[in-house]
Parts: sequence; structure tokens; C-alpha cells
Amino acid sequence: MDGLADRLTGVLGVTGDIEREFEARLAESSTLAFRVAYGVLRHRQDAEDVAQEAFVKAYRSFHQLRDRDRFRAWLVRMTWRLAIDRQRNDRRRLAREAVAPPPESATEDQLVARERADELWRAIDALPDKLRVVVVLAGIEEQDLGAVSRLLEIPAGTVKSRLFLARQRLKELLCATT
Amino acid sequence: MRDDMNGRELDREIERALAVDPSPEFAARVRLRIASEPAPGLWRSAFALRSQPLWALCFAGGAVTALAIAVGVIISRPAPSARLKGSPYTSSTNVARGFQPGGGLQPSDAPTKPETPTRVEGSPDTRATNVARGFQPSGGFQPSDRARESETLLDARETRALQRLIAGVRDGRVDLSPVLDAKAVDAMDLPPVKDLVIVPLTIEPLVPQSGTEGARP
Repeated sequence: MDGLADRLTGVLGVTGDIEREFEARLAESSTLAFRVAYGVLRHRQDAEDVAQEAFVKAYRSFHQLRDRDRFRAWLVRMTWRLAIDRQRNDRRRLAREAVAPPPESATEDQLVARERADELWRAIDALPDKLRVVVVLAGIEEQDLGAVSRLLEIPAGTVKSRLFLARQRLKELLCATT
Repeated sequence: MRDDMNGRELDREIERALAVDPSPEFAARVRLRIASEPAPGLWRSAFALRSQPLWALCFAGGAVTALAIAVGVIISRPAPSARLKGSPYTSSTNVARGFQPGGGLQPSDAPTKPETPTRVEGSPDTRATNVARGFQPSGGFQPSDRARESETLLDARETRALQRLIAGVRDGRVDLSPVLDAKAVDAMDLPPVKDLVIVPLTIEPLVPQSGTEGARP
């Protein structure tokens, strides 16, 4: 009986350690997960829902993640996939914040900026998925190609070439819309 | 409008578009949601808790079984030394106790023997042999081997009869030569069997009895 109690205490102790570590990961990665989801969905509530779902999935499988340094990359990929699925399936994407009617008190500059943002997002949505994720993550990480490389777990040179191609395509798309 | 937009401006515009923070309650909602989840890997840990004793039980059961088999094999196959020292031929028969190397039955032993069964090892078929071999002309009964006496019962009367028989043979009062010279009838010496005549069986038909059917005569 004592052995069972010791083992139970050990298991709960390990579980407590995992929870504490996950709490730390959550604190440092919550904004990242939200922005990744927002970069796809552009709807705050949807993005929060998807990010939360990604965290729950990550929590369920956290004990299987041997290299905890890969948590952010793991979380980003999971969030991206969930967001893409949500975008494809959820009808609420029609009610994005970007296409929501502007408030009556908005100034002309705000209206112009909103229009430009809508054009930009439409162009980003039109990119292939490989280029799209690079553009979004580069925007989140403030163009730090090394950080994007670590998040996507691909070489930095690949990130650079994909980002170059993505910019070229965006310019073409944005010029085509004007 | 966008013709003059260079890469830097485009990047800044994307960064501005993505510079959106989650609501303040987002992290709290995630924590609340996770709190309602079972602990990560708890089912695995629980399984480990249950399976560990199970494995231990399986291992212990296997070990006990192997030990029991090993003990059974060892017991069923006596060691050569035990066969020599502990066998009733030399030590355990009370039949042989009355004998000394010089021969003869010690009168003080036999009459005082209680009527309780004595114990010798071996099957009943081998008792006589054991009794006979229990007497060692050279060394007699070795007291050190008494501790290894077997537990098989032997009737005291049978013991006394065999002791008297052995004493009689040694004294010349009993002559066993006819018994030793007697030849058992060999099966091959039997006369050939003549042809058997088997009378064929005949079954007579039943004769109907007179009287009313169902009524006793």
C-alpha cells in the first residue's frame, strides 16, 4: 500500500511538473498562437477559439513531446492547420472583421487604411499555402527569418526564397487589383 | 496605388495587419479550458500504476511456477549420494536393526518392538528386497543414517516375520535352495493349444403362450 501511495505521489508529481511547464509555455506562446490563427481567419473570436483548441490539443499531447524546445514550432503548425480547417469549413469567415462595415465615426484615413488592409489580406489568401505561412509568420516575427525558420523547421535559405517569391506574388496581386 | 510599394513597405503593412493581440481574457479562458481537461498522460500513468503490479504479479507467478517445477524435478530425481546413503538398503529399515555384522537377531530388540508400523522407503513390492538388503554383513546399520529414514509404513508383524526368515536362513534352519532352484513355467513351454471348436448358437423361435394376453397364467 505504501508502494502504491509512493507511485501515486510520483505520478502526481510528474503531472504537476508537466502542468507547470505547460503553463510557462502557454504564457509565452499564447499571443503567437492567436496571431497565427488571426493571420488565417482575421476574426478575433475565431482566432481565439482556434488558438485555444490548439493549446488544448498541445496540452493533451504535451507529455509526448520529447524536445520541449520545439514546442513553439509544434504549436504553430497545429494552430495553422486548425485555422486553415476552420477557414475552409466555418461559415463565419464571411463575417470577418476586415470586411465588417466600418464604424460611422471612422475617418477617411481609417477607411483608406481598412480598404488597403482588405486588399492585402485578399492577396495573402490567394498565395499558395507554403508561401502564405511564411508571409504570416514573417509578419508576426517582424521579418526575423531565423525565427521563421525555427518555427517552420525548415532551412533559413528556404524561408528567404519563399518570402521573396511571396512578395513578388503579392505585388503582382496588389497591382492587379488597382 | 501600389506600384510604388516596395518590399519594405509591404512587410510593414503586413506586420501592422498582424499586430493584433488577443483579448485580455484569452489566456484565462485557455487556462480554464485546460483545467477541465484530464491531466496529460494521466491515463498512461494510471495504466502504469495498474500494469506495474500486474507485471509484477505475472513475473512473481512465473517465478513461483518455475521454482515449483524446479523443486519438483529435484525431489523426483534423488541425488546419487542420497541413493547410496539414504536408501533403506543400508539405513532405514527397522528390519535390519536387529542384525549385527556378525549376524543373528538380537533377542533384546525383537520382543520389545512395539506393534506400531515401522517406516521404510520404497513400494511394497520392494520391501522384501529392502529388508534383505538392509542387512550389511560388513557394516551393518549405520546410526548416522537414521535421520534419513524414510516414512513408508511397514507392518511390524511383517517385519518380524522377515527378520525370522533371514535369521533362519543364516542359522541354517531354513533352506531356500528349493525356492531358488525352482523354475517358473515359461509361457513357451506350454503345450500348443488345439483348435477350438465353437458350437454354433441356435436361437429357437418363441412359442406363443396360451391364455389371455396380458394375463398371468
